[in-house]
Amino acid sequence: MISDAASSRSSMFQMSSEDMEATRAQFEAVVRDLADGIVIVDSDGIVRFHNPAAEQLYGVRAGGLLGSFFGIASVSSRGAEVEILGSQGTRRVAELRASTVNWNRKKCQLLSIRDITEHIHTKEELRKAKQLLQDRVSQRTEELRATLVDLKRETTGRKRTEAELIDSEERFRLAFEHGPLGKAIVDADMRLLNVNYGLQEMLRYSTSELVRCRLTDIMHIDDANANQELFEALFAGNILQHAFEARLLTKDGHVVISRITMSRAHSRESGETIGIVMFENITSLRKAQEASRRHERMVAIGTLAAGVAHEINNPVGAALLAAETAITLLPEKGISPIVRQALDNIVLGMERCGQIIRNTLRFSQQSDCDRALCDVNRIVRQCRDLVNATSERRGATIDLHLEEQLPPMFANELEIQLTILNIIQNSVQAGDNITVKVSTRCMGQDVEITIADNGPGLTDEQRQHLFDPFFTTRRQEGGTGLGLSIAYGIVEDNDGTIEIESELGKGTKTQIVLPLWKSETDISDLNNHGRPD
Amino acid sequence: MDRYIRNTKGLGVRMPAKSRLPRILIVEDNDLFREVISVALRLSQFEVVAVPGCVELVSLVEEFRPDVVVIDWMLRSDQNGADIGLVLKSQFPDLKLVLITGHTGISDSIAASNEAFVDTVYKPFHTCEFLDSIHRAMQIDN
Repeated sequence: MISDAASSRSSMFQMSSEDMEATRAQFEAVVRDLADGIVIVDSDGIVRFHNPAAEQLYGVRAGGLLGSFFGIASVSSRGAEVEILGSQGTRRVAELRASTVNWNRKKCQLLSIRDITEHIHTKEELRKAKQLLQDRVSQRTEELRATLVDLKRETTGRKRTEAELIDSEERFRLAFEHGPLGKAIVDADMRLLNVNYGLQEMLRYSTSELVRCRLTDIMHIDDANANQELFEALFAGNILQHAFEARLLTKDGHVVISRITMSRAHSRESGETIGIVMFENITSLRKAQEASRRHERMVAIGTLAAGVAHEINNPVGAALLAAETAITLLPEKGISPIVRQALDNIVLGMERCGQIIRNTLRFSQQSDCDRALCDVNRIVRQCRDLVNATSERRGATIDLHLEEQLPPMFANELEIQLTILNIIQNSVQAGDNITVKVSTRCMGQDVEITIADNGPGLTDEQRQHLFDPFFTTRRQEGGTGLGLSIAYGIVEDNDGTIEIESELGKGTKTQIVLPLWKSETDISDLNNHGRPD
Repeated sequence: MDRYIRNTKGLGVRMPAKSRLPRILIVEDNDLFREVISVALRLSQFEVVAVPGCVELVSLVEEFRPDVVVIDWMLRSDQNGADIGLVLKSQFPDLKLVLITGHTGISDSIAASNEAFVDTVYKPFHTCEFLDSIHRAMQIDN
């Protein structure tokens, strides 16, 4: 091998030995110092030349590779990565490039071997670092995604809760606004802050009319005063709730009896204490109870009065007749006028007793039974006939102005008769030579009966007490004061109205309006009773 | 004043002597009232027989032949003035009956509407009221 190398060297340096020598030295220096390993392999795969870098790469002594079999590298000029197992067991990774050269006139392979172990190592480290980074990134991404899912879940949950809250608020609002109970929220001054439809309906006011108005302003003054301390106690926290009954005044001036329950609450928004008020309209209940009580009272009074009347009318009647007989038998002369006066007083007293008994009996006999179709005009005529004796005695005239074709009325005839009779009697007895005008007319579903006289009229005080039982302007003449209270009771029982207008010195006008039918149930009552004869 | 002259047919009722005066039979269970009303009627020139209601009225009417019978509505016995009136009216269709009563209730209206009676007078009543009723009853022609 050396001789071959020396012969090729001498042939190379033939042209200019000095230049050649210089070039060889330069070439040798380049090859020696080259970091890449250079190996020249002949066509048999035998190493013909290698540089120190190649020795180092393969871990052999200087010139240790020469003449050894290397094999033909079948790599492209672009190079390939190969693993080099060194003689000391070292493992290196190298990039191998092959090219064809003429070496000592023989076609050889020049193999350039670059140690890329460090490079690969670095690359590997880099890859690992990159992987680590990627792992971390994906882990973090995963964490973030999980957080996001949690967040989304939380958001959805919150949205649902919010929707539920809105739903629930809506339900509470509906529960407040609707339903048969009147509901309101008041502040400590009893001013209405919120009112519901039930309360508007009950009181006939609109929301705007009710809000900011004091609850005590629409309440009967007595009820407001009676409960004032308890309202204060409620807001002061001394009592938990307050339930009471009160009369409320509607916009159209009617009275609604209401059961009111008040409780206290703290507004979370404003922090102020509010009152929650519930109103239950118990007017019809109270009216029914009142009617039932009145009925029971009437039955009780009636039973008592009937018993008393039965027992007392005979002795009273006897005393009356006896006194009159005695008066008849008094001689014209020789008798003290005091005796005559005494007998007259007995007659007056007995007369009065009789009247009281009669009125008490009538007063107690108001009842719902015996309702039938009756002709109001006929009743008026009967009344005129009944007071005939009195009106003749007092020189009164009774004029009737009755509307023909007046529809029949479903009522207790005796009651209606008693009502009209009492009022005509009052007019006839108001003074001497009174003219009483009685008229009837039909107004839709009502009958209006007007009794007007040209008597002395009533003072304001008298007018105030007109309907009080036992109030009379004719106590001296034997008035019992029951007539108008009986009339009032009957008219009210029939869902009618009675109004009295009076002016001193000009007369008194009484207007009674009675519905033809007391209620829807009358129709079924009528069907059960049938038409009267 | 005492015109009672004899007991008739064992009825225990003293009949007045025959006269031209109109005759009234009173059926009233209250002793005081019966006494007073009898005196008042006699003073007004009526012949009066007054019984508490527990006698044979048909025989009495046959014997006494009253122009008017005055009957109390509620008698102490279980007799009812209205029923008695119906019985008498069926036996003596020409008889005039007047009802007197101490009640003013609805039951009286029913009694008052009883066709047997020509009139109803409510206690306590004035002598003149009652006499008016008797006179009216006597004037009615059947």
